[in-house]
Amino acid sequence: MKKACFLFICGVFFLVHCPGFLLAEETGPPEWANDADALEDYYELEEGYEGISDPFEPINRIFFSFNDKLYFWFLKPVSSCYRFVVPEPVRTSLDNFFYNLEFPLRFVNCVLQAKFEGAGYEWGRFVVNSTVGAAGFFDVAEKHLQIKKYNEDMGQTLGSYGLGNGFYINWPFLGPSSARDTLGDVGDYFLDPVFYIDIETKYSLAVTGLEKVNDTSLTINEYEDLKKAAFDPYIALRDAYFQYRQSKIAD
Amino acid sequence: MSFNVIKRLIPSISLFLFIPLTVMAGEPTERIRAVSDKLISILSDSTLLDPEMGQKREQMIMETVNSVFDWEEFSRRALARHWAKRTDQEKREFVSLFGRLVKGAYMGKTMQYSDVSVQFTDEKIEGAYGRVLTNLITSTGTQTPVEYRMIKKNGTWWVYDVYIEGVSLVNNYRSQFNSILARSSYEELVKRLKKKVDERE
Repeated sequence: MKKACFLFICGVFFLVHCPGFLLAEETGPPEWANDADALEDYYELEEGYEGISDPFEPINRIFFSFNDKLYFWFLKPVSSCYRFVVPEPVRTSLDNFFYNLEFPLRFVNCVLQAKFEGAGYEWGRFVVNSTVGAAGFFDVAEKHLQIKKYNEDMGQTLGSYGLGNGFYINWPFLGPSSARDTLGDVGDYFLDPVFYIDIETKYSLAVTGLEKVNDTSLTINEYEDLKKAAFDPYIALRDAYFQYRQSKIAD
Repeated sequence: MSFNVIKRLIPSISLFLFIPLTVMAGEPTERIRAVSDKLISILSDSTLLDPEMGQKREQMIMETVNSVFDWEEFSRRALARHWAKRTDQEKREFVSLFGRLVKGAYMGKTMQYSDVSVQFTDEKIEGAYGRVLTNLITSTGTQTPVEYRMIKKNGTWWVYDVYIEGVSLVNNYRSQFNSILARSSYEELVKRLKKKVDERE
């Protein structure tokens, strides 16, 4: 709760004090569009590609290397052991369970974006997976009924309303985000049923930890792959985050 | 007599039935399909998984990828406005380095992809530009949307960018190159590129 309030206050503070950054993203064509070669290119022009503004790059880079060490020194070894002990089907089921639990978050955001088809699919998935899928441990809806996921969140909702990214934030522990998406995460926090379960902080932290370790065990080496392919891993991650979010908002 | 007519009719009817199907999937899709079929056959060839065959396997993958990827287009777009300022010699050097960087990064992954299938979902063509939308499905059922951006040169379609889950490879590298070029020089960029490629190979 305290964390949520803190993030919310930070978000509001940044949004109020940095309107320039919010506008920076949409103004004007990209500078290289003046290049005769680039002008020939229909698709490049169509997208008007420009990155995310990053006024706090020095601080972000510090948090990036902090997260990097956190991953290699703690998260990866722990997840590797966990992966060795817990068989894959169990880990996938646990992943499904956590995903199913966050249904209200996706449903509300589908509705807020007027994606009623998506809201209907999410509703159907939740009903089927919570019953036939044994409280969400099995994704029956996708496997047997081909009901696909609509993974909408508040950051995308705000983006679809026309709110720009603001600027890039690489949070310690939480990783890449933007001013808008952080604000969105705070909203989503209140839509997550886990928030309303009255348990001691240490238990809720344990659950969050388990979710993170389980998730990492299923996507192990993905971060290494990104780093290996990257020329400057910090910029590569920042840009990948930006492009990924843009494409999620556009769909 | 009537039997003969039918015998002759069947091939012609089936011809009509199949023509629309092949037209629907246009040239760019067919080109990607041919190359990805070949790539999958290399990746799933168990005789090539032998460590001794590693080099041959790698070479075969490289040749297949090179037959459809236009590395010069990749480089030109990744350097954007900095491309025009380079001499022909510098351009050639950059194309070779950039190609090695990208290929080296993804070669390691090919070991994990011995059991994948490609689903072609859509194709869009506008003039000399085309987009081929696909879904990469792994043996565990994970789906990854992969989109190929293509350009037609002298009647042949070439890949000039790949979008994985909405993230463009060229745009991603461009932002990395730009960040270095903004701070230092092109020479420094090439030096770091060389170091990165060398330490991997």
